[in-house]
Amino acid sequence: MMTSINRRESMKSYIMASSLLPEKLWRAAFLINEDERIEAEEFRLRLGRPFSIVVRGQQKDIYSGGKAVTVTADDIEAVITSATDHSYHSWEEQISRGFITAKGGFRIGLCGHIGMGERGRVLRDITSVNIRVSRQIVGVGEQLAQRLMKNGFKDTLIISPPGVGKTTLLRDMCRVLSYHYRLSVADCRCEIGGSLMGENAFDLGKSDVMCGGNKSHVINMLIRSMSPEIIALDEITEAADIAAIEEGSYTGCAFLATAHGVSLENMSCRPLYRRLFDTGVFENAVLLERVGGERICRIFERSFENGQACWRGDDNYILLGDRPVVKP
Amino acid sequence: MIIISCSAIGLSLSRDMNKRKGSIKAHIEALRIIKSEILFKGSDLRSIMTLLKNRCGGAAADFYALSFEHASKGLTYSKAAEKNFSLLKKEGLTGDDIEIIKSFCNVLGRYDACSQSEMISRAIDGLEENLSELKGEMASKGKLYRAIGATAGIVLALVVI
Repeated sequence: MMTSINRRESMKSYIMASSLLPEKLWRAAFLINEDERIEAEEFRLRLGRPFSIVVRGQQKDIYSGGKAVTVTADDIEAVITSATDHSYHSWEEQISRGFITAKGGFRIGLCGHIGMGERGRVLRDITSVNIRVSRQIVGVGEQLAQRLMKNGFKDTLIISPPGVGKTTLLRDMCRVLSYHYRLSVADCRCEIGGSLMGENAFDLGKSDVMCGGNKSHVINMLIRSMSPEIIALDEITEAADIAAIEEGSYTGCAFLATAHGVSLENMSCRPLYRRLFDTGVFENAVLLERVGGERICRIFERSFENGQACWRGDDNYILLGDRPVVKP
Repeated sequence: MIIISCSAIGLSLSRDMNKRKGSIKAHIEALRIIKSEILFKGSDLRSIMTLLKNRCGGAAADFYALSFEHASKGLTYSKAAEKNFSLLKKEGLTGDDIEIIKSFCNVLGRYDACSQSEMISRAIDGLEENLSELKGEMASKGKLYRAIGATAGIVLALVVI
């Protein structure tokens, strides 16, 4: 159960994220009930389609007066104008990569037509926008972090399907771990710290946060400049990230990272993650799942059987933000 | 009296031309700053407006900054600028000059740096063309207006006498 402080914070995040919407959609965003607002994950805008809000993993179309609230091109432009503070050109590089991180750490995913401009790729004719309601749930990673620190923190990979709360968990774990270790955050999309103009929207404790750039470059910079004991990064998605992590691990620095996946078996079937496991960098894997509206996680440790690496999980599930339970 | 008042009309016509000339120059300067800030530094409009106020000041900087202030309240920059076009008229700019500024306001902050820079260059070229026309007009008609004013005054005075 969410504490009243976290409920209040969640509502605050919802209100802040909805302020990026134009007035028509902003009004529609408040047509859902309070509990849904607290658990809302995303606003989805698709040109010519109904405005929808993702709540507990389900997309909910919004109706006003019996009619679906339809998204227009002006609505999409208004979101971009508001997120970029009337300065599209200042966000060109991020937009060409398909997202904007707006004030408050809200990641806005964009979809449209990719063309070539004078300076490289340009995203034009944006047809879909996805505003993620990023939240800080203080304490959500406390118990997990304590467990992982028990015998000294080892490289840990957090695995879950999209929208379950990897980044929220990572954010809070950074906060907790930073009080015990020198922790640096490679925040390439400025989503973990919600940084804008050098100011972090979220509490990352004593973490050193490096924003922008690509992960491999940022990891190298952090190792050279901040001598971290742990580097935290979100979403390993390409071979270059794995190479950078492997290279970074030679310096003795531990990694706390996240990846999309539903299970360790599923991850092992995908060549990219198989390569990641083959590096042997990660000694712990945390599987994050949503069970009946609650988020639980389970820790797996890498072990060797007959000379083969395998993952062994303990029977204790951790209900995030609450007490440990034996089985869900 | 009549001679003096007719001369004053002539002088006022010539002063209007000078005022327009000053305004066009100020807008060209403002546009050049905006262009370089967008193209080379990728600065956001909010900081460009502060820079404009510090570096050029005057009515042109006020117009762009005020439009941005209105845009921050939920309007597009072009719609916010439209609300302030009356200020441009007060600056002595003509419909032609305002059309050029309008076309520039329509793209400001909405597109990538290169596209904006192209549009700003066009606006600067348009204003420069208007300025050179105005200079030519002033050279040929400035003195004429004053002379006509004085002559008309003398003729009127003679008629009255």
